[in-house]
Amino acid sequence: MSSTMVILFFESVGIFMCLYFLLQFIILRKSEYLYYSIYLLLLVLYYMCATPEVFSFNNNPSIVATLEILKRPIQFLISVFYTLFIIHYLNLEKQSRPLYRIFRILLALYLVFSFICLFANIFKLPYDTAYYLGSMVLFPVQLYMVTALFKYKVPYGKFVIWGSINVIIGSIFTLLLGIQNAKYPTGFVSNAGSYIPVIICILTDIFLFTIALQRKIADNEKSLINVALARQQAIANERERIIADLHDDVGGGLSSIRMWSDLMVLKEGNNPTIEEAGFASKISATAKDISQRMNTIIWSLNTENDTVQNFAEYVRQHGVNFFENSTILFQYYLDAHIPKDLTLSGRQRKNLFLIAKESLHNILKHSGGNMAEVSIDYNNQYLSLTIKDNGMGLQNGNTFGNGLKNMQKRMSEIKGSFDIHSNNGTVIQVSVPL
Amino acid sequence: MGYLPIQPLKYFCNRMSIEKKIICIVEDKSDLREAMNMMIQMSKEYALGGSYANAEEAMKYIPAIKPDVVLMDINLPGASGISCVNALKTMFPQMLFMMCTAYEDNEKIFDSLKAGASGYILKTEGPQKILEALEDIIAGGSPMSSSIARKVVASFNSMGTENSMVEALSDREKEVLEHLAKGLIGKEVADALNISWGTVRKHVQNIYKKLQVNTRVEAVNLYLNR
Repeated sequence: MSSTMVILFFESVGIFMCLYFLLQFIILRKSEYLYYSIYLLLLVLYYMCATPEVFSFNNNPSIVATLEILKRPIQFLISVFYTLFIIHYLNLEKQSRPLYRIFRILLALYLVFSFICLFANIFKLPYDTAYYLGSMVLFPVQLYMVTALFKYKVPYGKFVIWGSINVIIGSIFTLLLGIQNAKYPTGFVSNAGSYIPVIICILTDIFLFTIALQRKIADNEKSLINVALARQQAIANERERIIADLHDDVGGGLSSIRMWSDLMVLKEGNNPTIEEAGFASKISATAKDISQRMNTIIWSLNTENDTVQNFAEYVRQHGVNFFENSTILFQYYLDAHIPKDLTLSGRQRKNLFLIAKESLHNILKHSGGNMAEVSIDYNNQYLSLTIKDNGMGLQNGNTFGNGLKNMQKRMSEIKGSFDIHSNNGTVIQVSVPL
Repeated sequence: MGYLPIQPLKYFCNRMSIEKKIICIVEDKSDLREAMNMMIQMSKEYALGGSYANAEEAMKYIPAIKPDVVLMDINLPGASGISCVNALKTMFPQMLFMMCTAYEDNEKIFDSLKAGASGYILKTEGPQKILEALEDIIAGGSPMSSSIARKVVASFNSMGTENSMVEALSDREKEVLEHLAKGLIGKEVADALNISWGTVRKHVQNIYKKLQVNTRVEAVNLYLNR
């Protein structure tokens, strides 16, 4: 009675796990789950065939006969799917060509014997002869497979080795008990009872492979994360390399242009005409301008500079340097309550800075005033930048033309607002949500 | 390339009783190096000691020339300008080093200052600014940007006070450093503290010196505490 319970328990666990792995296959789309699921289904069917008395089929001889015909082919099919599962689980095609070849040969043999058994049984050739013959041929091949797994170390191979050893031990015990049962049909071992050792081992096996499959998923995830990190690192390295090249090659070249065009004017005995000196200083100024623009690009690319504090300082230093040799007094106010760790993206920093730069340039060129004021404030998650002067204010609505449109475009690019009005001079106010 | 017979030049300068300062240049870009050579040769105050394309060459010739100031590029093929400064400064503590860089890369500039450089200048500033900076550095002044100032503050803080070898900053130096770290430029600091611009530069120079001393002390301590 108790052996009946064990078989029924195994059958229900088998069905349940079969459905579980089928579900995993549907979710994860990995073929090893499908093969494992089919393997479990076939196991359940096999024990149905092997122990018809447990399912009360024994009072219907035709069903028993059909099951008897199917029993041995199913046994080989179980091996077919188990082998398929191992091939896909260990990814043998990529991990180890020799193992892949061995397993494919094994797979073919299982299939052949499965068909031989089926036809032998259907045509009422001596029952089980094909099976025992097949088993004898296959046994050395199976042993070789286990040793090959030991020899070619593939990732997760140890799960398969221990699983196989486990099932082999269970099978040996079941075989011994089976022989006992065949000799003494009314002895202490029932037909169902003889299967108990192998069933226990298969349950352990299922348990082992559930762990093994989950382990592989976890490892895959880990390696995916590592790949993503490595890719990010590669991008960061590439960015650094580009910055370094810009620094060295373009920066160096611009410095040379600057140097030579200045020397042209400075060199004694050169005596350039006013026009020539003007051209030389234009070349020099252009080189300086380009290198400043590049400086801004590099500054905005460097993530080390992403705090609002750093931005504010950059604006301030630009302002101080810009008005150094002019008659305009530069004033600067920074909201003392701005959190130290408040950050701006490179794009935000670049656009805000270029607006400040353009505005200061306009003040020097067009405003006619003698005071420029930059203030940076932070209120309700909005960072605002205000640039004021005491010049003539807006003339005829729009004095800056393209420059103004550019500023508006820059702000819409970073989803900020832009406002310009006259109030004893011109006031430009931009703000961006942080 | 580069190596000029310096003894006759010095002799000539002395004979003419002109105190020309000897400048050496280390720069790998040949066109820029030539322009800088010409810039020095054109000036009345300076004489060109030699110019070199890499740190190895500089290490070979500069000890014999003993220039007053070395204009040193940071990014060089082979050994970097920073390691070159470190080696030369250890041999010749009196020699001044001015780093010439394409852009303000704070990390590298800070490392150069720790290695023994007294200042830095952007190559893109043009010959006049570079000559002014040379004048400054010889007069004993050093520039310091706010980001560098903050790194200096952090560096002194990390050294801690338990170590008596660490040369502490004077109160005035701390004040200067704090103002610089806040983002004020040198002249603004001078106004804020009611001292002259020259005094601020002297303070900054002292801060650099203490930073260099402390960097070495720190290195020795790290070695001893292993």
